Amino acid sequence: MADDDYESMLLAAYVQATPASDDLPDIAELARLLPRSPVRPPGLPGLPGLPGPPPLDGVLAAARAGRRPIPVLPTFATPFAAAVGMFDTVLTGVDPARLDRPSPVLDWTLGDLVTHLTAEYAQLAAVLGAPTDLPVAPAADPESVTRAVLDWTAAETGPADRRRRWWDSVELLAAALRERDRLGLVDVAGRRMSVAGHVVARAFETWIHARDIALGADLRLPDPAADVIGPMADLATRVLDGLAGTVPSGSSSPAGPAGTVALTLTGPGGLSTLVRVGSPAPPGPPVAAVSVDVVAFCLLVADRLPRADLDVAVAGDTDVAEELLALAPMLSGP
Amino acid sequence: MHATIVPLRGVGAGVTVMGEGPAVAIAPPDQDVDWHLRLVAGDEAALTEVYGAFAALVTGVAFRVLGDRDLARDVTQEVFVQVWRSPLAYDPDRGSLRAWLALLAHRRAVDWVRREERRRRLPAAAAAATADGAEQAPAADEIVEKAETVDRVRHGVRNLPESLRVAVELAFYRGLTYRQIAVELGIPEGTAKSRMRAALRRLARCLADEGLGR
Repeated sequence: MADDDYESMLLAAYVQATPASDDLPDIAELARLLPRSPVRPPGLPGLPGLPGPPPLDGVLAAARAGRRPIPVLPTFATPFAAAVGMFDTVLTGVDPARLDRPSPVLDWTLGDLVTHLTAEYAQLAAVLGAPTDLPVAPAADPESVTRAVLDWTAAETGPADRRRRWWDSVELLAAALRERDRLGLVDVAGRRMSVAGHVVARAFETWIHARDIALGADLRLPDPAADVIGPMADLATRVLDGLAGTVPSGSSSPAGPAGTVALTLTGPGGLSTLVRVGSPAPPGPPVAAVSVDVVAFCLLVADRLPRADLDVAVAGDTDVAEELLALAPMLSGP
Repeated sequence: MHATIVPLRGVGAGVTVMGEGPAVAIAPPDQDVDWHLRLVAGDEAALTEVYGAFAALVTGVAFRVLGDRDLARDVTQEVFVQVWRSPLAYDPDRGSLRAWLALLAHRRAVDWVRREERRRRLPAAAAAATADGAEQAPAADEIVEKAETVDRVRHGVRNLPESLRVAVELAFYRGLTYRQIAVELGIPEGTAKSRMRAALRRLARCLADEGLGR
């Protein structure tokens, strides 16, 4: 069936329903038949006799039975809730057989990424005081904690088992987050950040791995909304800035280019900020400007978009700007 | 380690409307993109909004196929449950959400008719046991008639002069308002309206000649 069948039927119905004279109904009549108003009136004006739709409550109840709602989360965890929703949508859409395909991460399969997120959520939940049976030592790095959980769950690697474990960890973390202050500082895998910061980091990796699985399974996942990608980008820029003076430069020696970059992330959820680059941390005004799409920047940070493929505008000291772009993928982990 | 990435946003985001003349590339409506994003992210409020916007349309399409109010409402519920469960099945770059929902409703309704037709062909005893309400289901020839109507409308649209054809395609197949059509084509709104009136008159005559007139 062609995609325009309905439109052709609607057009036929409209033409057939109009008076026989040359005076076709006013434009407003046709406009009411068309779909552009955000909320359509009940029934289709000009096509009388159509029944009204079923009550919304019943439809929502049936919908919830087909796809569980995201657990209630505090406002600061909004990006995490959205990323969990995206991941759940991908798991619903993916052919389970595709989860045996290799992922872009280490030697893991796409299915292993589900367990990886299970481990990461459970680790943060455990740090926040939630009880879990999973072997998630608070100081374990992401690869170690994931391998520990992969070993622990080795007997249940079917897609349904992995998904159930993942959802259990979502609920565990959600419950823990509802009890915690967003600004409280906690140490997870050797990194001290606020609870809100850790949650945004979990959101970031959840989106990236949802995208990994979608790409590996030939599904098309839309980019996150502005209120989801924005906090992720903000976290990435702050972590990048915090690296200045603490780690060797990304593309050259510790004595490599240093300076402050005026970074502009464009598009919905974008932001403008200053990021220091190099060691020692340089003082003073920006010496370079970088402008790049916010989604592309996040993919660069996640090591999913090579610098060579990045559409970026650079001005000023290009060595310092390139240093920032070379440093960004160093933030990525499993 | 690197995946091959093609940023999804803003690249090749246009779609092409039907017809044999020059293609008219149109970006997907922002509202559709927003709804899609939020449905994918599990935002139940988005489902409520989409339902408010399109439930009447979906029910209407299903009713036109099924001719039964209760069945049309059942199909409507199925459509929106599917939207909630599998939002990745919709791609805003391939058409409007409205058209996709209408297509889903049409397909599900036709599927129901086909199931009913198969059930009618069961042995008489079995059919008699389950025949309540069967009279309300449309016969297969009604489905065929709808398909013929669709073909004739497409034929009529294709044969419109280009300026009229584009106006009809933008309005009916892409869901643009007259103001948006005027902006898209760089013409006054009044001209867009007059082109639409002229196109609809021609289509009405075309359908009448084919025996589908009013």
